[in-house]
Amino acid sequence: MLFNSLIFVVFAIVYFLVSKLIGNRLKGRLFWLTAMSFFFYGWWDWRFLFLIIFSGLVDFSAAIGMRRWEKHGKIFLVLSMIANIGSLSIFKYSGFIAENIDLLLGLSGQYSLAKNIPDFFLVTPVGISFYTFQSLSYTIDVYKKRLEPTRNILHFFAFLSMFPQLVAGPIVRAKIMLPQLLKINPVSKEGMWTGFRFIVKGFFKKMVIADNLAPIVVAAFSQPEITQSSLYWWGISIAFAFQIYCDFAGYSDIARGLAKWMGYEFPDNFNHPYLSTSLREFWTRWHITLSTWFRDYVYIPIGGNKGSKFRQHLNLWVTMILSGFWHGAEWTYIVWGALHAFFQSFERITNWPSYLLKNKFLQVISCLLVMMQVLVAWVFFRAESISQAWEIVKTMFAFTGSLQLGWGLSGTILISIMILNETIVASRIKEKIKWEKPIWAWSEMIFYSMVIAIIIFFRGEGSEFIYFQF
Amino acid sequence: MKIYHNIPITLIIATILVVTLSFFLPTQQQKQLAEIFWTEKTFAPSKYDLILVGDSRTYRGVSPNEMEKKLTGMKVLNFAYSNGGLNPTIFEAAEKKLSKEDRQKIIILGVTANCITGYTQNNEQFTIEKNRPREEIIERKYLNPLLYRFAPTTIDLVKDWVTNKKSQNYYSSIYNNNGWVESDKYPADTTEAIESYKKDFASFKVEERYIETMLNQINTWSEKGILVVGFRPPVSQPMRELEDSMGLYNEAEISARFEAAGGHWIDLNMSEYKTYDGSHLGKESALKLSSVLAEQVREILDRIN
Repeated sequence: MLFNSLIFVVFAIVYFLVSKLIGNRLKGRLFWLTAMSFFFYGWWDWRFLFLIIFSGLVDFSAAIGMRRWEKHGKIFLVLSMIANIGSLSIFKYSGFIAENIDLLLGLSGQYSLAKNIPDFFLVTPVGISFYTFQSLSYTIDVYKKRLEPTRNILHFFAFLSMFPQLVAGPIVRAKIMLPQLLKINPVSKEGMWTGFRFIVKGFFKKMVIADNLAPIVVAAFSQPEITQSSLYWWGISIAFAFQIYCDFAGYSDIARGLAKWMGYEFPDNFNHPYLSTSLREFWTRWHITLSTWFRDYVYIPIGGNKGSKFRQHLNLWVTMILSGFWHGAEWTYIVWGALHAFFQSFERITNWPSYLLKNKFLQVISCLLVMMQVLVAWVFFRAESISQAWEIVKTMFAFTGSLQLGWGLSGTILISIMILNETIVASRIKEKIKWEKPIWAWSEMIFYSMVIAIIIFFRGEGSEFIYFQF
Repeated sequence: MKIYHNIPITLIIATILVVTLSFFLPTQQQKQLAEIFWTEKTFAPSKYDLILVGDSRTYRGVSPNEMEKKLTGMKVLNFAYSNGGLNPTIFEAAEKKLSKEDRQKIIILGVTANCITGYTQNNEQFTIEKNRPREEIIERKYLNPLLYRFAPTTIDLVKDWVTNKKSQNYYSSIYNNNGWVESDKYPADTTEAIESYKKDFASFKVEERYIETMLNQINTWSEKGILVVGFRPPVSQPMRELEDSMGLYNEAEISARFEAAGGHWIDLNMSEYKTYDGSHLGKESALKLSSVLAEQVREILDRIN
């Protein structure tokens, strides 16, 4: 079920109306949330509900086992990891792994591993990477004694399957969510308004910006040959940068808004990443819940910033490549992760951003340099193949051809809106306004009414959220 | 009482804005109307006495409402699709749309060359419509008819509207009830479709196996008491020659075998009809064809009863 579908509107109305009737009865609330979340997920394909239930049951039991038989905690942790990483490997990576083994060993025909994988395993269940990571963080935190396991199965499944963030994040840790689920948090009028703003902004980003940029990007990347000019491909990579940002940040905003209305707080997932003045900063602003997940459960456990310089760089590369692989079973994602590792290693060695932070003008230059690196990496992320990405990047740096960006009028307006939005954020104008004053409050209400009208009339062709596939 | 930062008031202002804009903003209503049209056609109830099957020439060329005027008391459905092949997939679906009441049932086949080549045997459009996710079907069938006024627009459409730029050319498709798309184009170009058909016929010809399938179905239907009528949808003279020569369409042979299988063939004088692209009939000709078909069906019915 997509947030940007009318069926979801009906679903949400039913959910909130019945929640109102249930009131403060905790068991009832947890049951209703879990049941509706399963319905939300099952709407896409009910057969894959078993996977989330299986994964949840294993982790729920493993966490209890860790406490009851503390000496054997590691066994339960391994069990949980096998179940989670195992299901991820089967459903998300089996095709990719088999294809590469076939290629390496020259297997084909009846001996081909890829051709012998049952079709069911080749369908990637929506959001599998998100809920698997969320579930894994629970057992790891219980094992590390950072968290007490819950003994209420409804409590656990309400956390694991919570519909606003189930299929595309943010990845909300058990430590943050489990305590919230046990409290009855009355939603204030301010909370309702904040949630409303999040939801409207989210829909605007997704339906107006991302969905209208999508056809421009799709048309560019589906061309059989790369014949356009350098500027055209810079333009297309900028269009994709805003498409993926608005698609994913839009989803996160809607999820946060819905959570607000439900009385819960989700962590921020994006903090204007394209304003970053270093790659390191970019990764504290982009997909924050995933970045911090990798930091806490991969980067730090394998050594983090400890050890020799070489070891630190190695840790960074391992983490970034795994992060790329998390996004999808394609070499293009792995190269995307590796490129980010390379840019960050270069940044660490040269420390170049520090020379550009002296004044506003140099900060803008720094921001543009970071953006350039991000854009080059996005080409690999979006391209159909590594060879296509390589051709595009070569064209981008050939600095030849016409001076057309390939956006058309609509792309130019949409990208300008986003650039303007980011500029307003950077200039901190919004922080200087006293929003509680009637004049500003009314202006804000009229502004959001206009945004809703824009969403309705300028919505693009409805498509799935890009991050669903991850 | 503080009313600012109030969600209901914001939604009321938004509703006023949206409703106001819906009256004058140029939108892509056509697309939504088309979606409603195809979903309603595909999921039409089983209540019809006469069903038309074929490709775009049939759904643009025959108006069920016009036929109903001449065939009093009969309910007619145009069940034709783009690149619709005449094969068991569509035959079975069409038969299911027939009324269960004890009245004479009629199926009319628009037998174009394209319908009996390999190119159309997937019945792609019908299959896509039939297999749409239920969520989309619900939206298209029940919500879009209420909400099509709020169809999206585009920046380019608004730009043309603001600058008062009107296109001198138009291609109109009006999606009528019961499956007819009333079409016209200005300026008309009766050679327009020729090139694309040349390309198709270079790879796909009329094939005996598809004719056989159609004839077997006519036989089966006739045995069930369903009256089967066939006709060749009118096209421009050059298009007809192209279909005969390059597409290997032999109308005389097909019509004879059609009748031998138990069906009835209607011969049409193609010069009486005007196409806007060489392939599809404009509104006036479509109404005329519908009327002629209905009269011929009436005659056949009188003859056999």
